[in-house]
Amino acid sequence: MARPAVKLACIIDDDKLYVSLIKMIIAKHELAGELLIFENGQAAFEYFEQSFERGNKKLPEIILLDLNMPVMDGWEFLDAMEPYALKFQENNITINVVSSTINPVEVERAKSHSIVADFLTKPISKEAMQIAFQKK
Amino acid sequence: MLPNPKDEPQQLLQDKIYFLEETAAMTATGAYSGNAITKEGFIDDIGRAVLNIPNDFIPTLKSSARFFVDKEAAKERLNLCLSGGSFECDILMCDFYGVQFWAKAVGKPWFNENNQPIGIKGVFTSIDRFVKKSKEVELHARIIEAQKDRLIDFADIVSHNLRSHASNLQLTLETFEETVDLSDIKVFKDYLKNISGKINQTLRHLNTVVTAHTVEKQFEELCISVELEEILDIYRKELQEKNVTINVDFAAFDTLCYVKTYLLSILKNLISNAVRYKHPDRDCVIEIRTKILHDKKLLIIKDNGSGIDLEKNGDKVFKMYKTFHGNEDARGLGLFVVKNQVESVNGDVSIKSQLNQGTSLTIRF
Repeated sequence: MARPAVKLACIIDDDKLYVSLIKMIIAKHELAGELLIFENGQAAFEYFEQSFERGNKKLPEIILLDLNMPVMDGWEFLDAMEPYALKFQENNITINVVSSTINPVEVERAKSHSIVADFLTKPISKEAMQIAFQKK
Repeated sequence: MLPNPKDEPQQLLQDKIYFLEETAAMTATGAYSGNAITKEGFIDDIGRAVLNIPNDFIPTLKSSARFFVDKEAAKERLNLCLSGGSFECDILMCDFYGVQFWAKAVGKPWFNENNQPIGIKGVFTSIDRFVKKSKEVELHARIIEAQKDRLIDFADIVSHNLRSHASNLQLTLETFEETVDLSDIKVFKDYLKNISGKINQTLRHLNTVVTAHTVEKQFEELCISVELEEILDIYRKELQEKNVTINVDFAAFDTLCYVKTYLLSILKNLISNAVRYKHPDRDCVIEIRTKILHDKKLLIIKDNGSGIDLEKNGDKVFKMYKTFHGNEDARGLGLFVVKNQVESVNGDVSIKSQLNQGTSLTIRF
């Protein structure tokens, strides 16, 4: 069996159905060994903050971040994580924004955010997933 | 053709007076003065007409106070001129019979022969027509603004929610494309059912946004306490199970002429919000009371729940599908619907909240 493209991937999304579909695609195409799932930005932020401050948590290689979420949305998560931009770089973590928005302003805003690598539109195809995971 | 005024000083003066009189008459600009030493007052014919003053009324410095809504400010302006200053401002005045109107007024010190200010003199004109017009325009602008916001909400639901369901549908079909396994097919069907349910829900929500502003509104005499009982009856069991206490105080007023479905929707949504976002460490206590403030009827619904950080989320509270607590059953619709309904009948909703203390919502009917 081929080695998965990435060891640990992270999904931040409140849409449960979407998350289970992504899980299935990742498993089927062996895109990632393990998955880290948060249902909003706040939970993910706490995880990463702790990990960077204390180094006691495993870091993913790739993050798929949704924009529209309760409690802390994707934008707020990106802003909260900005002070750690260097940490993301050092640890080779890629943040991909994945959203169903087709608003060009939002797409541009996401792409131009300093810690965002790319913007993927939902529905995300398995090809797009493979490309994103193989870039690693 | 007018003779060239340069030729004759007499003609020049007459022309000046003619133009001044015509301008004053056309713009309905009155002249006034007041002497702080003799306490006498004077208002010219145009000014008397603007103020609807009867012929036999002789103004004095003191009796002129009746023409000002804010008498303190009028006194301050007089004192300003007595100390050599002057003013030009918009003033809310009232005519002889007490009818209020907006005026633009100028006041300057009246000097005696020794150059000492001994009083006030100036002109004033009614700008009520313009102020009323601009207020009307402002109101229209607000309505248009609200309608624009609703259009954006509508577009948001369509572009975000409908799209995300559509994309889940597409992703589901793609993922299960080659599936033949029976257990997988069951999962596949579950997913489809889930998505179709969500699409239906979104369409219902879209309908709510549209109908709040298009459906014919029937106003009727309502008793808030009776309507509240109606709502509580439906949820009695649930409220008891969750140990919810509801205190009411309708001493200020209990009857109201309003749209019944809206009043029910307000009560239902705000109570269910209070219950849904209760503080994890204490039982939910809801206070519902009425109040009259500046002749306006208010309904206040206050809880001791987990509250919202308004500094962070203030602009999103009344938006559709914005939820703040990560609750399973949060749908982000209640406040949005209430606001839409209340505003569609010219009321408004305001919120006060403190994180971990509670939330208070005020409906102005």
